[in-house]
Amino acid sequence: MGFVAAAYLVVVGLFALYALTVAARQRLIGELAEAAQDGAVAAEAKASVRHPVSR
Amino acid sequence: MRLLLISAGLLMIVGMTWALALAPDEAIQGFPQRIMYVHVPSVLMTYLALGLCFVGSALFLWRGDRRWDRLAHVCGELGVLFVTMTLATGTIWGRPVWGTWWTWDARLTTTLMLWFIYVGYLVVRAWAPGTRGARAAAVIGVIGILDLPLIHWSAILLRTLHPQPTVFRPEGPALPASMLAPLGVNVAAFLAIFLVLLFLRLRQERTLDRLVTMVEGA
Repeated sequence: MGFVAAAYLVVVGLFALYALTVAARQRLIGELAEAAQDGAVAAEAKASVRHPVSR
Repeated sequence: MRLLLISAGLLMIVGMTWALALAPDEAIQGFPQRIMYVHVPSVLMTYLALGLCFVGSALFLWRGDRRWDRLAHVCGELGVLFVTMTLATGTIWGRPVWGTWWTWDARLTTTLMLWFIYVGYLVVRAWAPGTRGARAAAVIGVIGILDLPLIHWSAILLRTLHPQPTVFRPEGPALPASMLAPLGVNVAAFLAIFLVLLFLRLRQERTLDRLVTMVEGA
């Protein structure tokens, strides 16, 4: 009984662990996307200061 | 995607309940035989994941298209997850049935080799990011698949403690319908989980590639 329970818990545990890594990666990608967007906005702002006439 | 996720959850609950509470006890092994209902699906998903990793790796080496590399990478990762599950459930089953957690049996040893090969695949990817690392990993992805037929035939051609195949045999499955049905549900559950994880990870890798292109272009 104990061995069977252990085997099933290992399976569920490994799935949960992998799902957690996927969720953590998703959060990281979200943060990267925000940072990249900020970077793009900052680059645009910098460009507008450098070339005010072109705006 | 949401429908697939709900189906995976439901199939998992039904499959595990059926396997643990409703399936009959096996005459010789008794209760520990129920580990087979999660062990066999793990093996099948390992074969599927690493088969796709091989296809992705080979096509990436041939065409150089990053999409194939993404498929190979994600499937390599999933392959390690399922081969870990296979080894873990196998050793837990071995203790009550064989009286030992581990023995250097042909099938067990070749399966452990498989784990090392694909952990190596992921280590190469992590240590050498970019196209060079992807190409080196793809070579491992192509060569590593050679271990799969070794694993499959080791229990048939060599003297081994591991049980002979009872489901995928030329003569047809040796299991009774009362055991085959819960096994089928569990295989479907594992397949649904595999697909959910595959699609999620592929989407993440695609987004990451777009972000890298965006940052590099800025």
